[in-house]
Amino acid sequence: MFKKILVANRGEIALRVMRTCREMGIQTVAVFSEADRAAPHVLFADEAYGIGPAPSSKSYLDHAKILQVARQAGVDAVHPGYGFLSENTDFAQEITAAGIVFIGPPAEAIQTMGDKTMARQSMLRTNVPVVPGTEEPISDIAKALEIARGIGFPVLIKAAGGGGGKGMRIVRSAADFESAVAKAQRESESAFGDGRVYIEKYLEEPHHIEFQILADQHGNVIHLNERECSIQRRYQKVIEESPSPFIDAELRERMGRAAVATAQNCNYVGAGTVEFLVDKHKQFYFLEMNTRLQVEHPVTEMITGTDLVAEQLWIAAGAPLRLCQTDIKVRGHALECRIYAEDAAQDFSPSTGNIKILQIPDGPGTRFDGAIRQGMEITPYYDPMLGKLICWGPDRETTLNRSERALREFYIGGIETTIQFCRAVIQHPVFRQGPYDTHFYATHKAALHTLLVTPDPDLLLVAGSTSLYHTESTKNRSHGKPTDLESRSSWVTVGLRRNQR
Amino acid sequence: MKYEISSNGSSLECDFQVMDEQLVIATKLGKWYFDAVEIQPGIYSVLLNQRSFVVGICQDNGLKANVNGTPMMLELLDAVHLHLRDLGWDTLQETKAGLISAQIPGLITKIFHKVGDMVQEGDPLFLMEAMKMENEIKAPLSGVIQKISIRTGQTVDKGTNILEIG
Repeated sequence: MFKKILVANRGEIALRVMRTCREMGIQTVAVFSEADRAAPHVLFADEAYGIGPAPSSKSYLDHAKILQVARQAGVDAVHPGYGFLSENTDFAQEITAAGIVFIGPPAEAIQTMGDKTMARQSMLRTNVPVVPGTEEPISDIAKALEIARGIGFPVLIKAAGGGGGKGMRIVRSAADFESAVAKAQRESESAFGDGRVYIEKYLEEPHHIEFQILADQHGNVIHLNERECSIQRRYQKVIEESPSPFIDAELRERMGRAAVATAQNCNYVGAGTVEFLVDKHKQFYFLEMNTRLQVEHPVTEMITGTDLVAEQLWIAAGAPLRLCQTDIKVRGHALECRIYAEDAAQDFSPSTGNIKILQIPDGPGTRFDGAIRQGMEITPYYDPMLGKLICWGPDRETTLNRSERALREFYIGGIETTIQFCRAVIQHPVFRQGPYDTHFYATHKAALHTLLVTPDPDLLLVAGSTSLYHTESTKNRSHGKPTDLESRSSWVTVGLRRNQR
Repeated sequence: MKYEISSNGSSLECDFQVMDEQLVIATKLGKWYFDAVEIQPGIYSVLLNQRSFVVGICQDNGLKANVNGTPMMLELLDAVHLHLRDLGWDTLQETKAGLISAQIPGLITKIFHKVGDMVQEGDPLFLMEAMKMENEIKAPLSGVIQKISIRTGQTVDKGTNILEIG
């Protein structure tokens, strides 16, 4: 096993990886930008090295600097986390060429699956269905429009080099086609440095369901069941759960086999995720393969009792899979809520500022994977995800009740977050009932936002009286002792005196 | 002393009193005994007629409270301001609807108009890149662009005035 690992990432995922490393007795090396000198991953690591200014293009995306640190610190492996350089073929090759293990799949698999056009082409060798669409990135707009008409509107425009909804647009009519393509190209150019986009069919009532797979260097591949990821806004996942309330045992079996075939087809090694779209007729289509650890991996860990980071490390160190397909049993139900620094009421626009107050939930079946602390500044430089709340229970209902309980305990003051939005989703009868598709948010937007702002008179009374108490007592404190007992402060002064007894 | 507490369209009139060294809140619905202990800066344990609440108070672009996990924006008006309002004076600052400012820090990547252009409500005004996303800012009202205070490629802080529609 490795002695020392560099984690080429920041935030919750850097911390997540380092936690397993420490449990396994492996030394950890952090890299940080100027904005992250005192970030939680730096505090946790055994060693930490500055790699440049705040913008990620000058720090977390700088291959040369990270490689230099890897050499200087004498690590035997690099874990890329997710995002940043995790799906960068050049980086994987540079690390490997330096005689350091890249904890991830071989560069060729990243290249094939990371490029959506190449991935689609390679899938033609398997019998796994793909969503109808263009094989080549759009070059000629008139020709692309013709293809889009052939597939039938609505169509989806997607970035060839990216993910997470960036550079993605639905086009409902031919009239909007050209401007949507231009916009998607601009966005994908700025997010990934790659402006190529392609078109695919837009499916009705689609479910976004993905399968976790593990593959070792000896040709063994297993899947660890699915994650239902249909709760999205702006094509980014907010809530994920497993098992999916939509799919049955027979479909799970077929999709699991397709996921394994996908991994075998590209000679995959390591932990990976095969994403499918499943339409209302339970027809499934290969969407893409993410050649890295996913944000939502803890959902799978909770129901299978595994540590996917540990498995990644064992695989990278050359060990055969420690689990076989029959070892993978589903135990209970798990749900993850992503806590973003975003204002749900303002169309999920990013919220920056200082975390003035922080209370993280705990208790039975409750796990928080985050990298935040009180007093920390949330800057606009990086992804707005603050962390993930994962709850486990013996069945779906217990898990939903538990998640709601934990979200109620969760309090982040000073910035806007998606805590309350997640609560509103979990309370929604359609979500409670089970099968929901990727249109859930768009369809129930109004109802969700009503739940967000319900002004219960009892809570209003408590909030108002406490804030009056708070402003008056702070005022008294900043003026030294309360000398002038004018009528408006006396209400509070009595309370403060009582507390001092 | 009388206050009006309001949040998101609903409001409540309260009279805060002291009776026998106890804090009492009277509303038209009844009377409540109030007891608060600050357990950490900005977080209070509140007993209201022995019902237990955990309340966070945060001053951040206005007064925000969080009661047992439910956040809300709050407005407190005291007797003087209530009286002024009854006289028709709105003492709260009036925001200029046509003044567009940055809600988040970011990079201005494209401006679609120049001073003097006529825009309709919902027309795209400019593109702003923040947290790796391109955000299209739309006109909140129709009118003529009076002033543009930024240029393409400029990084702006939260609150920076971008442009004005008159």
